[in-house]
Amino acid sequence: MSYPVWEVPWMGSGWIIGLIATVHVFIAQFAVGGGLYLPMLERHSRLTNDPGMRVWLKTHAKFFLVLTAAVSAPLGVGIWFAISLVHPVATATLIRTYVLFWAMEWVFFLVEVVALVFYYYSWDKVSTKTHEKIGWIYFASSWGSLFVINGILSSMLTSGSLPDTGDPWGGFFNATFWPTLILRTAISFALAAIWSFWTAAPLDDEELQARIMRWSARWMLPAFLLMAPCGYWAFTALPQNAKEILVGGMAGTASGTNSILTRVGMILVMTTVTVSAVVYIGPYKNPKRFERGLATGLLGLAFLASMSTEWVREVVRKPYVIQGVLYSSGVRVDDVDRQNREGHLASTTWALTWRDLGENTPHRTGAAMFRSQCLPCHTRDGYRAMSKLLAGRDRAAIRAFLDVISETDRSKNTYLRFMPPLVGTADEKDALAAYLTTLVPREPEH
Amino acid sequence: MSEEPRYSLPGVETQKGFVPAVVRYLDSRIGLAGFLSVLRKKEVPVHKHAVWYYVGGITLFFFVMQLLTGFLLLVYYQPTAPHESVQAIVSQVEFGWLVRSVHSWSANLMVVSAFVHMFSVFFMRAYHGKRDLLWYSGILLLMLAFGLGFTGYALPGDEVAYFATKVGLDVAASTPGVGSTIANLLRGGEDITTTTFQRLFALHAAVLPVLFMPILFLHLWLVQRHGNHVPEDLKPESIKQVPFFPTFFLNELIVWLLCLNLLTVLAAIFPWELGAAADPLKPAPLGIHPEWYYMAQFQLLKLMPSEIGPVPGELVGMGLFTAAAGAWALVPLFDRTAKRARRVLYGGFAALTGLIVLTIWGYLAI
Repeated sequence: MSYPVWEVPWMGSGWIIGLIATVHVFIAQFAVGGGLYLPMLERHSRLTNDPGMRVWLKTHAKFFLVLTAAVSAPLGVGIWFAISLVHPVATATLIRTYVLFWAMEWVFFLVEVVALVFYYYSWDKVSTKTHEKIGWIYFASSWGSLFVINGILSSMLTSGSLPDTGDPWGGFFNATFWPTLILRTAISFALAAIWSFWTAAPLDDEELQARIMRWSARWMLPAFLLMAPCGYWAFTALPQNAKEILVGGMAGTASGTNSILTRVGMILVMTTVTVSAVVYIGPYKNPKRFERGLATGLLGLAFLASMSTEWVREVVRKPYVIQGVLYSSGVRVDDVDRQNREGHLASTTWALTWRDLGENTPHRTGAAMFRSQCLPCHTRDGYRAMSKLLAGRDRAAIRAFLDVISETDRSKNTYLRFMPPLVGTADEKDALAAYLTTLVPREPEH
Repeated sequence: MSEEPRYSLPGVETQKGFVPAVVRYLDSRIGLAGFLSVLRKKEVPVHKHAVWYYVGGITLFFFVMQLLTGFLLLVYYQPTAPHESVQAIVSQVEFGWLVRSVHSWSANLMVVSAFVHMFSVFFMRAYHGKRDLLWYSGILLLMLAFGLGFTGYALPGDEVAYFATKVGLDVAASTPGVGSTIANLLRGGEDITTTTFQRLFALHAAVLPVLFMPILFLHLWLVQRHGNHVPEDLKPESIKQVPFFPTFFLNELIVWLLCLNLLTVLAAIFPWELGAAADPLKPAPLGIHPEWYYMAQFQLLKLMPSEIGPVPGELVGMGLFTAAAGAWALVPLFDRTAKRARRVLYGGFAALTGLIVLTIWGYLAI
């Protein structure tokens, strides 16, 4: 790796991407589902001769425009900034591998933004049928954008023939491509309705509010029916290792609590089921009195479900960033042997030249190893803190542990299920062990 | 004169099927139709402050969660081996960690929502007039909840629980007169031993719930009898009435579902930790402190000088807090005129500010 290391204390750099990406995805998927929701409801209001619904829809479209174009799109740019700082090697690899696909995505996005602006500003200025057609163009382009992004994202989890052949098409149409595409489409439709509950909740006209709520609740039904089978389909298509760590927590760990991944998986199931229950009890059964506060709670719940989904997707990918190509430590899979022979730091100029590493050479080497291979997933004292994970171990125990996690044979290194192998020469590992020992808190003296 | 329908579910008398049959059966035995009729007639006012009506229901929800998880913990918990049994619950019993975590989190959330409920009732003057018994029963429930919290905090028998309980009982023992008797009664002697855990467990799982339940039913019955309080400053035209069943009930159900998710997320992501087993021969660990809802009292006692004149400072602190709590509990007796109402309002703001400041101060001083 020959990029600078970005150290984010306490929360870790991964969460910077996570926080920006989760908000972006939550709104971006609304942008796709809402793209179909708008012309469909507009058509419904035309066919049922419901002008009140159309008036509300214009207000909703304005909110949609502002939220998706003015808030979500800059967050998308923010993701690019964040991933290029946190995972520069992965970012560079994805750009090089999928350059044609990024170009397609950019075209889709451009059409999407232009169509949305046309859709809103041509309201009542063109015929209703023409207006609906603009809405359809918007939906087609936004879904096209989802199609491309989903292929690239899913290839990071199941990379198909990409590692062996380097063929981007083989990586793009991978094992989880179709189930995740349908799943994300279903989620986006559900989000379109959930956001509409929020904008329709404070309407003064209770009858109009009830019509919108009921129609939107029914609109969600296909999405809910698709979610469970698609989720299961995606699960069966996961690599064996990912399946094991996802369900492995159910058996219990030493601490007695199921693994964090399994716990978040449980939250994902629970929040999704609750969203469907709330939609039935509220907007469907009690549409006139589904208040803004409750709609906000429902949105929060949907956000939690979305956040859990993205978090699980990120974590089951471990120990890779791109399956079979690149480890989450930024080390290429096909570079492990060479770095073990020649040294990891020989390829990581920037980790060594960091200004505050100090003068002492072994300490400097150990600190550089830590920055380069540990910091991508750990922090010193915060999220996945080394001080906590290594508590109670002395230098010899830490050194022995480093030997275990250096193994590339799964029968000798069970950590390989979620941790990349440590690479480097024996001297580098000695230095890393010495450095890690300084992070372990001493027992308090009474 | 039109005749009232006998059943709340129209046509149930002649309908075939399992549900109508169950409704007819229950009506003939317990008068279900009357109950349903009450629910149908009951209305809830809707206005800009109506959101506070949900908080009492939220408190009830967390209490129900306490009961359900408490029943499950009861199966495995052993007061004669407190730490070992809790260790077994969180490490060997399937989903035991989750049940214990939900129990602990719901206890804390229940106190939070009880506080919010109490202050919302206070600031809307919902304790006024014939509602005074609602206020008194609510205060009693809060005191019992504090008791449940104190006794429950001790039960895991880990270091923090042990020493926090020891400090709490030592403070109680310093009360003149009956203090030492009560503390010794709770401890089962001068020191905290297995007997203490047995007694605290008996209080937590039997005595306090038995006291709690009838007062809770009285409180709920009084709510039903007097209806929801509407703040006096609202204009009548800004208030709408909606039926309790199903309209308000369905919304309350949604709020409960949201609370259930909040509870599950907290319990799953931040499982309640179990510290090392307490060793009475060891010195108390640094920064020992009670649960957050006792922190204001704890900090006040810490701020007191050792002696104020001839009286121990700790005693003065306890006296101050007891007097303030007593005045708070008896506020319906004092608030009888408009002039007094304003004073009570200012007093309420001062009490709330004092509690928040002392609690934060307490945590910063650890």
